Amino acid sequence: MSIISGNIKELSKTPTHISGLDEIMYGGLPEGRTTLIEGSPGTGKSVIGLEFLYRGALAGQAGIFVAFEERASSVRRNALTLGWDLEQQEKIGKLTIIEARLDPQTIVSGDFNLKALMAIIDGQSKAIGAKCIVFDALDILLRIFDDPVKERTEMYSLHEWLLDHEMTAILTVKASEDNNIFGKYEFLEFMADCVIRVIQRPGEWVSTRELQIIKYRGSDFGRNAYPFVIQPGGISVIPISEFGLKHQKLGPYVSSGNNRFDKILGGGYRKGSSILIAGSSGTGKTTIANTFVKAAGDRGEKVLFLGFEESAEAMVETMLSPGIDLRQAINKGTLKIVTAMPEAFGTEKHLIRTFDAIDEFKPDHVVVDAISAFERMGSERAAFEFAMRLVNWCKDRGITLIMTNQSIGSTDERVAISGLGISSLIDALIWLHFAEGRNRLKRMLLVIKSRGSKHSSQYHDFRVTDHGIEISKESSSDETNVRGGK
Amino acid sequence: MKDSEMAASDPKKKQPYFMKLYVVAGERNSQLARENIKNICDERLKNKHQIEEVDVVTNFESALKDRVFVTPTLILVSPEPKVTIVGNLSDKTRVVSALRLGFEDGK
Repeated sequence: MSIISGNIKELSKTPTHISGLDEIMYGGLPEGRTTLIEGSPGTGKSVIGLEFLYRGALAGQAGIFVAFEERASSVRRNALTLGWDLEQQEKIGKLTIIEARLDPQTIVSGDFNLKALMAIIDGQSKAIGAKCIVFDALDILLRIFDDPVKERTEMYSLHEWLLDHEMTAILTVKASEDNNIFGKYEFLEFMADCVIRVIQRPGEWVSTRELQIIKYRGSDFGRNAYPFVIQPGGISVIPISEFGLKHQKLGPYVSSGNNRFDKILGGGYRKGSSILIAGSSGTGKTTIANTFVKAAGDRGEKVLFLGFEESAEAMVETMLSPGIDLRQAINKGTLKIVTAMPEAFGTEKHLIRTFDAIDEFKPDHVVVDAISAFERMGSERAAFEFAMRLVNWCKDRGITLIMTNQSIGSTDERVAISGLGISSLIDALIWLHFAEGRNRLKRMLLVIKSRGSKHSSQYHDFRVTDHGIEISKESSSDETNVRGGK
Repeated sequence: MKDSEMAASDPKKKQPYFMKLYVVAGERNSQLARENIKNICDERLKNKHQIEEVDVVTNFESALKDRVFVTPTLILVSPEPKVTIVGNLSDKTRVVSALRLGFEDGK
């Protein structure tokens, strides 16, 4: 399929089957060659390696996982939390886990080499016909070599062995930017044909993992640091285009349709930003979103409303009770409502349908109600991908995207509002919830973040009246402590 | 009593010291390890020992089972506790002390 220009032969690649990763690697790992993944502990290096083998196994490609640090049983257990049944793949001979933890009591006396390890790998790979291999936590193995020259010699002979046997290999090593020890394994970086660095950046609410390819011999590759998430189902790398997320300037302020809310947001929504309104059922997410839809309509701006919860008629009808009349905008043609049942078709078809609708209607703003329904497209992973690609699609076009997300009965509210793991891509995050008032249950609103704006960080009471929403200056409740401070 | 007498009468079966030496046939370090451990045992253990040699290339399953990833590797299986020594065993003092065979006194 790929274009072979002139007499330059394209490098053969082995797909990782990891969502988004093959895209930025322009096809996958260099086939029959070695890739180094380095990063600090807990960044997901092992998961990348394991997913490569697991998805390969599902596709019929046998592989070997060599664990220098973890027990085989804990590798299996961790995989299960991601929904991967490794044991099943081991049973059918598509995967072998070699537990290669050295006895910490081992005594060293004189010269030695890694021939035994290679003999074991040779035997095991022949047994199942494996062509893919992951050496996880190679740094642990390297500890037994006291001598850096020896360490290198052995790594080079392991590398030679891998090349001779045409194994597509991943080596993971612990190294981190913070301790300035990227480069500790410089000789491994030099030896490998491809080097991937994994970084974890702490964030206000959700820490973000990023992955960057720093070297790929013989191939082009995406050069950004790409955010990725690990969630049930596996890893998703977000292949933001060069002019995407990171470099996109936020547009001018557009009114949310409510003066007080504009002030709380620090001026309103930003044009071209992605906004997530999260909260449990009945807190007023759709009402807040439609307050904006109405205001945009009055300003003559075009809005595409993607409804996954109810029919267009029912939604328009429901909005009349808080005094939000969308009919005029529909008649003028500035508001277009597209509804679909999430179960109706797969993620891809939903995406194509959505992207087509956006490119045909060319809206200023898109509203999605609610992304929580995306999970019904198949899986959480499918939902995440849909949301993530929609965010990118709108970002690239400077379209404002407002999404509602229904959180259900989770005690960990951070998880509940995080919205399918996409919150790191979100510019503004608004959280609605119920709180116990004196005599009634009241609604509370909190702006968790509003990128590029000085937003209020206080809780605000808000009400849904028959003439729209009403928001207080700040919460009347003592529980938030906003007035007790100074 | 009877059992142990029988065991003692069969030197092949149950020597007080049982070791496994993992090697790669024809490799210099493996050859050195073989010689070094033989010398130490001859000197310290007389005939109270047995060394089983395993070639990792032809018997990788054993290596895997004993978690042997480098060659040469010497494992003291009995008496317990188990001891693992990697390398060509050139450091006699270290090997003797690791195997709990007394101090190397420059004999």
